[in-house]
Amino acid sequence: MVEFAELVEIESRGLAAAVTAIVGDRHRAEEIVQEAFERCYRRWWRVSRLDRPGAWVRRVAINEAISVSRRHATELRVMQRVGTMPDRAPADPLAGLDDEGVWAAVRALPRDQAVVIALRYGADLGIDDIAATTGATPAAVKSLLHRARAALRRDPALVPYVNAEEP
Amino acid sequence: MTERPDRDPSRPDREGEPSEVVDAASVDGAPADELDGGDDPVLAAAGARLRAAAPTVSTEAVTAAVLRRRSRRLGAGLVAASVAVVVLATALAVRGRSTGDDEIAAPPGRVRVEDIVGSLDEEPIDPTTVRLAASVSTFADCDALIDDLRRVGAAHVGSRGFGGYDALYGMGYVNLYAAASRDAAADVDAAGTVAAGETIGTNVQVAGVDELDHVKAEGALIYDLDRRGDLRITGADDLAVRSTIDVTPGDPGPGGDRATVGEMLVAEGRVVVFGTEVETSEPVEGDPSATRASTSYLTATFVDATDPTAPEVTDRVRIEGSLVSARLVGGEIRLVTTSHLADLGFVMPTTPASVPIALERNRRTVASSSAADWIPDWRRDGGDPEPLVPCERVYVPDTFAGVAMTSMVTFPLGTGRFEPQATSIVAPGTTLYAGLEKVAISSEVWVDPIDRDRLEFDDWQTAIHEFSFAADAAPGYEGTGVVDGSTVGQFAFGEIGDSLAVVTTEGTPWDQGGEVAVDLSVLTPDGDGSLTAVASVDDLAGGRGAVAAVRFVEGRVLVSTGLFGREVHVIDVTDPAAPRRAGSVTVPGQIGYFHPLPDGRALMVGSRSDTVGTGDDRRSRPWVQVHLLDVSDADAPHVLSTWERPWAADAVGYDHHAFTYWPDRGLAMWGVTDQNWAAGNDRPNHALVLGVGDGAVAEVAVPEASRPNEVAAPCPVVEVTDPEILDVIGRDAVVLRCADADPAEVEWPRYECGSVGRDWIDRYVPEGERDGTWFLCHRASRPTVSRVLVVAGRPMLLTDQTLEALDPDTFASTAIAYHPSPMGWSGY
Repeated sequence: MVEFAELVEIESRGLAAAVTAIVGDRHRAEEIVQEAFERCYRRWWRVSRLDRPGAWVRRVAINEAISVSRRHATELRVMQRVGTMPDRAPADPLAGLDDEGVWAAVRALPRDQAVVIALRYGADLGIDDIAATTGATPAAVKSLLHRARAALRRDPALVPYVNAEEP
Repeated sequence: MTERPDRDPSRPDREGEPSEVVDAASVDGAPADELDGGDDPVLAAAGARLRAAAPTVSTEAVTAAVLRRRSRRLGAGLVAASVAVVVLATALAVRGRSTGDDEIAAPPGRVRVEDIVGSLDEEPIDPTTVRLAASVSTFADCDALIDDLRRVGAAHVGSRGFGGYDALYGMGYVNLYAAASRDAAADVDAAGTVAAGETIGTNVQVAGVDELDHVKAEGALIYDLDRRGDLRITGADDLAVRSTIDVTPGDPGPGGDRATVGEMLVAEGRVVVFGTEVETSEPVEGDPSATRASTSYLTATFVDATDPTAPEVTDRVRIEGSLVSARLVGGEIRLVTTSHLADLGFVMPTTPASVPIALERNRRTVASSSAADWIPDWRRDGGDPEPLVPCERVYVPDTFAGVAMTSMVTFPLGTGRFEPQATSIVAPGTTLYAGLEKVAISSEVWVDPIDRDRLEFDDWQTAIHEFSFAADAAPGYEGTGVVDGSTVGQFAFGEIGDSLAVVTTEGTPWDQGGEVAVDLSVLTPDGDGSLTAVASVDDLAGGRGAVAAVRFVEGRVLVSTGLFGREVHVIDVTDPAAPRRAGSVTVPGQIGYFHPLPDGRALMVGSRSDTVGTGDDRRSRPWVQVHLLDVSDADAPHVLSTWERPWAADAVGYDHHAFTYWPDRGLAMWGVTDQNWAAGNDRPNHALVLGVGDGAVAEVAVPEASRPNEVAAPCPVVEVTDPEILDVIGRDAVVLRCADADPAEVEWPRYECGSVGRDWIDRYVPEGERDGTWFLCHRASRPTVSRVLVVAGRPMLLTDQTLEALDPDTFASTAIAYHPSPMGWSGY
């Protein structure tokens, strides 16, 4: 059986990154992850007996992150950010953004797509773990990841920038 | 634990490498190797940087925050001075007294007493300001648990300690409700409907879940307890005792008649008998008051009686605390106990000026208590004490509802040994529900009995904590809900659909007024630690509550209300999601007990009284009253038939085990006592045998409980002629003088005998004639029926003195045996 301290050690950094990716605010993310672990600790006798205690705490944190992000109009921010970055020229529109721009674009995605991207790249989780966290099937997670990545590159918000760089 | 490939946040930054551009055509055909690491280098690299910069969360910060939040909930004032406690197994530990929320004070289990006491308000927490929170905490280890218990305990303890834990409140309201799954109930029905020679078990609330009683029938055998603390096994065919075996919990020790046995459960010849044992400490040296602390223990004695002629005790244990109740479900015992902290060594103030000193002392006592002080122990005869429950399975409600710890313990009966798995909650178990898969405990804000009249409580609430049972595991916590008012006993709980439901009345449990709201709440775990009220029926009696009896029957909940229980309300629960208040019916008396019957009917056992005579002869006349209620149409309940008997009283209203229903014959049977004292003091008591199957209540028989057969005195009778002595002992008394070798007590049919003290003998018996053991015997009062049993097809009456077999058709007496039972079980 996993120890609580061990779970915190294994999960907290990746989870904090994923939550940061979703809510776009490092301090808010820290609060959310901390609270998720507090809830986990208060129910530790039960959570520790689950097959995947990590999935439990991730789900708690991600759910909270989603509800927080609903309260923010992050979409506006990505529009503005993209509009102000005209002078680099990579083939990949995402690569042309700084990290904040990348995550802002992620936050502009539909919620379920943003979550799988945050868990995949922010928390560095495999498909199975993402599926266990979100409750979706692995196939559905894969499909979401594909759609999310494709959408990022076709994001209308990014199009003006990409077009401007073409010869 | 989650398996995951090691993906180092410091992996090479691939930003410069060619990007894999996913075009629209490949979106729907997910490549299998997409997670090989190169599926999206830009995102992967951004993610790695995000992790590297991510805020860190530490175990210490989490556990400290949990404790801090709990402290805050305890009440305003506490927070300002609160000391943060941190789980920190390093040498950082002691930094002295901290002042802020975020500082580290000391590692768990070693929080300084000064820090706890220094952080408290001047006054103990005012129970009128405590609001129940629908959440509980558990702790990873004993250190974290004890830190929490010390802190909340110290905040609540008063100048008199935790107050008297009187039997009336601490235990008196405790009930256990049990429900079986439909499968288990079906099994029992299938096994129970043996047409000939059937044996009917104890009348239980829900089929399939056996309840504790002082007598059990299984097969053709009757198991009960005699007056010496022996388990007695009797054959139903000849009423002959097959064997007796001492089941008292070990040697009671010096001065000890304090070990008693009370109730039992039996399955397939395996018996567990529960009793109590009180251990009194030696007087404290130098204490002129000679106050002795006493600790009460629950005892459990296991007997293998698979050979009824040669039963064997296979285990004896004692458990700190007292019995709340126990159930037998599918060969497994569900035992619920409560224990309290009476023995922490509190002091009491003797003058007004010493109140703050006593408070300070008691706070220090709690602040330095150990986990062992809180966690109940159990001990096998001759063995070392073991904790009943591990620290991590102790649930602490976020509102400190009381100083008692209620433990749910499960163990198999068949192994004949106590092998407990337990889960505890820090709360006085006020009412308990125990089923095949779940147990629920209700708890209230704890109020010192001494303060109950003084304090005003608005909006009294009750927390309901639900636990679940799984095979071979300790009960697990499901969630907590908060309902308005107080729960009203065992039958107030039931299940609607798959949810727990409870009937509550407005107000505190110790002050249930006559004109209050009565509510039904349906509670469902939300999977996240709370029981949510998914449906309710509010104020079903129109503000004129005072619940007399409740019963959950098929598709209905029946509630009798009114000061004299004159209204019977029907709640229609055929749609579990939408229970609704349906019809009601007025009855001319009080309803004490509902018994469900087939075809949408219920039997209501109650009473009424009237007055007879005039002037000095004017007397109140009690009646036992029985109604057959039809609730097949929830909106139009009606009484089909009523039967009553004057000058009679019964115990069914508060002891449903006294009632027996014989399904195949459609018979309801129970004992009644004669109440017509003016007509003579030697009138017999009876049992009622009523047919309730044909749409009417019909008297089948009212058999009399016969006296035991007269036998000669067991020892020589001493003639007493001295009028002075006769005045003292009574004209009808009989004095026996037994030889020294005889037992310390005698049993003589038709008499009750007690030994005579040596000083009395010295005074009245001439010197030289004083040898032997002397007994003073009086005519026993008439036997009273405590149980009507059906064993191997034979109805029989168990009284305080006899076991009497009846003819199954005429209910005439066919055989009688002297069969003395402990006193007090039929004293109604």
